[in-house]
Amino acid sequence: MQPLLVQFRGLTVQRSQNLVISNVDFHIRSGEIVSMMGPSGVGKTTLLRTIVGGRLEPGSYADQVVFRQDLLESDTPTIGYMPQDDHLFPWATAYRNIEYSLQRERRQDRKGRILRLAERLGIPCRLLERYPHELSGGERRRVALARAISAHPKLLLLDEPFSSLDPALRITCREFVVSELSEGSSCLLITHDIEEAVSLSDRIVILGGVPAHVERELVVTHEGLRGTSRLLEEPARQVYLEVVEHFKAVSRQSNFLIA
Amino acid sequence: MLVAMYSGFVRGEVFLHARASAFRWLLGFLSGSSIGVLLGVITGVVSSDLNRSIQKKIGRQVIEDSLQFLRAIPIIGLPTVVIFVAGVAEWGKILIISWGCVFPVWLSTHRGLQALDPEYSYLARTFRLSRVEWIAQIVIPAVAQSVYSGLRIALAVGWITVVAAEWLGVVEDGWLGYGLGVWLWRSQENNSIAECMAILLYFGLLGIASDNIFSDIVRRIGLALRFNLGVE
Repeated sequence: MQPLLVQFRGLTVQRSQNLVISNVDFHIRSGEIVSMMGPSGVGKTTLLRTIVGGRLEPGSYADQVVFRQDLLESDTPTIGYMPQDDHLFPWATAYRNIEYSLQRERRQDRKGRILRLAERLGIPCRLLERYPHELSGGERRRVALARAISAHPKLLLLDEPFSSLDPALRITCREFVVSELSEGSSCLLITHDIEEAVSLSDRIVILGGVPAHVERELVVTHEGLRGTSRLLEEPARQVYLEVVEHFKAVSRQSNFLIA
Repeated sequence: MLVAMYSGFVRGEVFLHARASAFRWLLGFLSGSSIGVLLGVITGVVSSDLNRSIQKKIGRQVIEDSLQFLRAIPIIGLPTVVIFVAGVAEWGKILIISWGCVFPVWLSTHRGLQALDPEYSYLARTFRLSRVEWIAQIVIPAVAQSVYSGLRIALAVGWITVVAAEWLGVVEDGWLGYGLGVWLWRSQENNSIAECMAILLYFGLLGIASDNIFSDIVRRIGLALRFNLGVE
C-alpha cells in the first residue's frame, strides 16, 4: 500500500456559524486519483480548499491532520490547484498565467515547458499572448489546467475541471491529466460526471447530507486502463452502475426524477 | 467666448494662469491620491471579506461610516474654513485640492481590496509565493484597475477644486501670483461673461490633456510590467 499524502480524521468545518462538514474521515495516498462527488453545495469545494491551504483554517477542526512533510516544506510548488471557475488572472496573458506556477524554475526552462503543455492541450501559440477575456471558455479552462499541472505537483486538486469542455476536448484533457501526473503524484478531482469519475479514479468518495459527511466510498479497479473510456468493461462498469444507483436513490429521497 | 479664448491665448495670459493652477493641481493630486491609496489599503485590508470575525464587522462599519461622513463634507465650503487657518498661503490651496482627490482614490482602493477574490490567496499558496511576491504579483495588479478608475476621477475632481482653492486669493508676487481660478473670479467681478466661459473651457482642455497624459503613463507602465491594467 502506498504511503499517505494527506489524511484528515474527524474533519469538521464551520462557516458563518453553519456546520458545513461534519466528522469526515478522508485520505489520499501517493499515486492515487480520488474523485469526490455529491450534490451541488454539499461542501466538496470547502473540503478541497482545506487541502489547498495545507493547514486547517479558522473554523475547521480535526482529530488528526496529516500532510506529508515534503508537501509543505518544499520551496517549489507541490500542490497544483485548478479552481471551479478557472480564476485566471485577468491582468496577465495566458502565458504569464501559466508562468505564475513556474516562478521557482529557471526562466529558460519555463518557456519550453509552457509551449510543450500548450501543444499537448491544443492551445495555439498565438493564444498564449492573449488575455483571459480574449479567450473562449474552453481555452480558459485548458490554460487553467496547464497552470495547475505545469510545476509537476505531487498533489493535483481539480474542481470540476472539464465541465465546460466539448466531448473531444474532455477526452484529450482527461488523458492529459493521467499522463502528466508523474510517478507517485496524486490527484483529487471534484466532478459531477459519473463516467469521468469512474474512468479516471482509483477511488470515488461520495459526500452527502447536511452537514456533509462521507456517504459512500467505492474502489475502482483499473487494470492499466486509467483515463480511457472503459465503461463497458468489467469491473469498472459495476462501479459505474453502483454510483448511478446511489444518485438515483438520493434523488428519489429528494423527490427529483432520474430517467 | 471664442474671441476671449483667442485673446487670452495670444496675450499669453492663459499660460501664466494655467502654469500656476497646474502646479497647485499636481501637488494636490499627488498628495491627495497618495493619502487616498494609503487609507484605502489600511481600511480595505481591515474590512476585507477575508476577515469575518464580529470585531472586524464592527470595525468595517465604523470605517465605512467614517468614509461616507468625510466624503459628504462639501469641498466647495472648505475655503471658508481654510482661509482662517492658512490665509492665502499656498498650502491652504493645496490642502483643498488634496481633500477633493483623497476620496475617489480612497474609495476605489478600499473597494478594490474588498473585492479581491479569496481564491487568489489559495492559488498564491500553491505557487509558493512569499508575502512580498503575493502583494507585488497578485494584490497590486488585481487592485490596480480599480485604483486607476479612482485616480481618473480624482484628476477631474482636482481641477474642479482648483477653482474653489484659488477663491482664497493669491499673493501677487512671482509666478504663483496667478491661477485660472483667480482669473475666473476676477472676470466674474468685472462682469466679463465671455471671459468666464473661456476660462471654463480652458479648464476642460486641461482636464482632457491631464487625463490623456495620465492614461498614457499607466498604459506604458502596464506594457513594461506586462500587466493589462484595463487602459484602452
